[in-house]
Amino acid sequence: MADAKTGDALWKWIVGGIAAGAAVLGLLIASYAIGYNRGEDNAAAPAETTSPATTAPAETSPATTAPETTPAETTPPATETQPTETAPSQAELVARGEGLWSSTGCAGCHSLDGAAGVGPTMQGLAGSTVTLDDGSTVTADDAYLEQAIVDPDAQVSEGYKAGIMSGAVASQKFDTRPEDVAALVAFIEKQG
Amino acid sequence: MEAHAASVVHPSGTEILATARVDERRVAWLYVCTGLTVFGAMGLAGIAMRLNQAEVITLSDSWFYRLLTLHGAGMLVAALLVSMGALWFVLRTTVPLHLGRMLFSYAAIVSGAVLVVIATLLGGYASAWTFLWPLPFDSFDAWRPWSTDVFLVGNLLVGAGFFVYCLDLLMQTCATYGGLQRALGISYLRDRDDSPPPPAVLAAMVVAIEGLMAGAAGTTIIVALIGHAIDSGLTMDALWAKNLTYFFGHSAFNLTIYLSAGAVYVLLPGYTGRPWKTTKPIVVAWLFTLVFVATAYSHHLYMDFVQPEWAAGFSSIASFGAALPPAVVTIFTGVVLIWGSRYRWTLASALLYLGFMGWAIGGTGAVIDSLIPINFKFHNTLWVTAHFHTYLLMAVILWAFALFVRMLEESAGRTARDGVSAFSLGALLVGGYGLVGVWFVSGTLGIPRRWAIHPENTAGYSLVASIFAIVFAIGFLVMLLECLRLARLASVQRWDRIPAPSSSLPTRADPEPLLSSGFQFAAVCAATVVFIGAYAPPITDAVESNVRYHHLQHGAMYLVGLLVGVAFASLPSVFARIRSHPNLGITLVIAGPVVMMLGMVPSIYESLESNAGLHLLYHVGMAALGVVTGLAAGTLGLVTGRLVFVLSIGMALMYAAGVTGG
Repeated sequence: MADAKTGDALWKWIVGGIAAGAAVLGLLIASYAIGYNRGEDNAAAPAETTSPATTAPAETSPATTAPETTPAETTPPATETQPTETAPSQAELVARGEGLWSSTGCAGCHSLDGAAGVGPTMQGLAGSTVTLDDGSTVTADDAYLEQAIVDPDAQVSEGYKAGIMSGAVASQKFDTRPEDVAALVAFIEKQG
Repeated sequence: MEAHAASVVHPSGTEILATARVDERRVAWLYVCTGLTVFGAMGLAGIAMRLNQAEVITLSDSWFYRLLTLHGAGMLVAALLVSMGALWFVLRTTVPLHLGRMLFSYAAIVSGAVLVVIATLLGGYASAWTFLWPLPFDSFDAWRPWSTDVFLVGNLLVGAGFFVYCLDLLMQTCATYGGLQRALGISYLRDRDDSPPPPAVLAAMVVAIEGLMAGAAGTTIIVALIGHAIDSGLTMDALWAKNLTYFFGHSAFNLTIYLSAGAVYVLLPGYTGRPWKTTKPIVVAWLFTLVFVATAYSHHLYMDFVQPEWAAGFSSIASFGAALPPAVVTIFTGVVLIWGSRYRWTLASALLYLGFMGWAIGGTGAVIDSLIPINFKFHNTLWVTAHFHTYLLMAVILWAFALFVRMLEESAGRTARDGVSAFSLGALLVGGYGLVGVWFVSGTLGIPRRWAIHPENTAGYSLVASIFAIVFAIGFLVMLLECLRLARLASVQRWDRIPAPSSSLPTRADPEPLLSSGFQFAAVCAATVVFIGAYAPPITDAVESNVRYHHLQHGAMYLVGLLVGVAFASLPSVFARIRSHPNLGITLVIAGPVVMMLGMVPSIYESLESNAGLHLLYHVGMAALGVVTGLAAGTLGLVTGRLVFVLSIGMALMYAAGVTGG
């Protein structure tokens, strides 16, 4: 065992290793703590900055605010950002949903033409009345379709089994992708 | 070394080959006879399926798929048994392989095979050997639910048997040849070693390392599936499941050809009178296989569009890199060895020679199919059936027969009769290549594999294939009858009492501790302290919302234990006490990760989370399992212990990556 043959030499290395590990762990904890505190500060910041702004008209006199912040200076950013933040058009959503339909493998189990498959067909699904495996019925509205994608086992259609789709789509993490879910719903609704 | 019966080998062959001891002979008989028996039984199942598709007999679809499942899983067992027995037989004359572990492997594999028979024939299990998630659990009443559990446990036992075999192979070979680099021929390649290991050792090393990796992947997916059987809330990513299933299955089938090739390296020189020496191209070829064979399996997923494209591209390269170099180098050097050597032609030596042809043709079929555009046309067709039947039927099984016949000829002191040999060989060749030839043609026509019902007007192909299969079976039977005649002659001479070498088993080298320097101790201790961070309350709180991260945290806790165990196992005072218990170590390195993964079945740990004390105890238990596994790894020597360490934490990471639910 090379230089670790003697107990003394070995214990020095072990203590040194533990100290080095403790130092790295300490740095990680310190980084976390700093980041956590900054996160708290950031979370608190909007409340501090926005409240003066929202209350400005009431709290400040026109004389003090007028020279610095004119409507012309403050409104353009709002109006400029509006177009980029607006939801995509329905056609864009459907196109995006169609791409997702292919790339995420939905077609492997669900048909679009009424053919039977591992899962129910999408033809005529949107707006229809779906019978669930507990015998109850539900209308296939947006909320139903979104839940069926994000949490497939929440409501399982009669004749199908829980666990199959949830296992297959688990890696997609649809719960963190609301825009993609909306696109898929739009595409499904397009199927009539 | 002791002289062979001169009449059955090359006159100079007796100087090259070491004579096997009684233990080696008995183990070889046990493995090869069991393997050939299983092969015969599974072959009958195969002929029944082919006759059904030829519309000669009628099987219900349910029975067809049962037989398909039994045939696939059973043939894996048959191929493993014959090839494991053959390599062990030839290697043990120079490497002190452990007899008890070999017998344990046999018991585990045969027990697993019995469970597979029960699951398929009694329970009706019929998802094919591939047990692809979620099919085993969604039979729609086609098979009884318990049969799924029995089938999975059967596969786990087969995997455990092969895992123990590979562990022993790696431990003893590395110890005998002075470490990983020497045993793999890397030192020889770098001109630092004048006496490279023989080619059979190179093949054995590659099989052992790849076998352990495939075993770890197979254990992970099978334990996950068993976890679902325990708790239906446990689910898994389908792509992840398919990757692990094929990593295990493809590798296990693939390694049988390399096991057999290792045996051929030793058996063939007995008939050429020339030693099969290690050369640099042979070393490079086997290193190619070592690097690439683990990723070649991904060519089974070309058509899974969710598999990343880079994985498909790399797999295409890996399929060539893993298959071609050892096949080309071995076949070329083997033929050169035979050329001008006054090759001693007997039934056994002819089988050895003809096996090269099966490897070449089957391998060519495989690399053609590994080209992505061609795979899209061929992969779900009988082409694939043709390629793997070619190398299994016409190489692995012929080589197993070669060993079987060689031992009988040696024991009987005479060779098989020429006429009978010629007839049986002719029937095997015509029947075998006729059968796979029809499948190659059927594949190019797009006739699907794994389906009970074939397209209309294609029954004629199955009829022709059935006839060829029956011709092969006749050749097999005739050869068996000739073997029985040789066995009767041998029994007169008390075959198991033929002079055994006076030399005892080669001395086993002492294992080395996993950590061999102070710096390594320091690094492991530092890593341990860092990963203790996994116990921090913010991490425990954060992972609650995501099952995968939750399992990753458990894996990190297991890693903490592993690191502690490895460090303790390497302390001089501890190592001196545990080094003499490798069998206990082998048991624990298999049990530790399995218990760790089963412990991550949500229904087990969720009930503990409401109680802070029990929750903490569970987390400490994860680390304790790691400590046990790490200590156990310390008994296996430097190379094997370190590989087991990596595989153990690899299993935890793989499990965390794919398993969800709860």
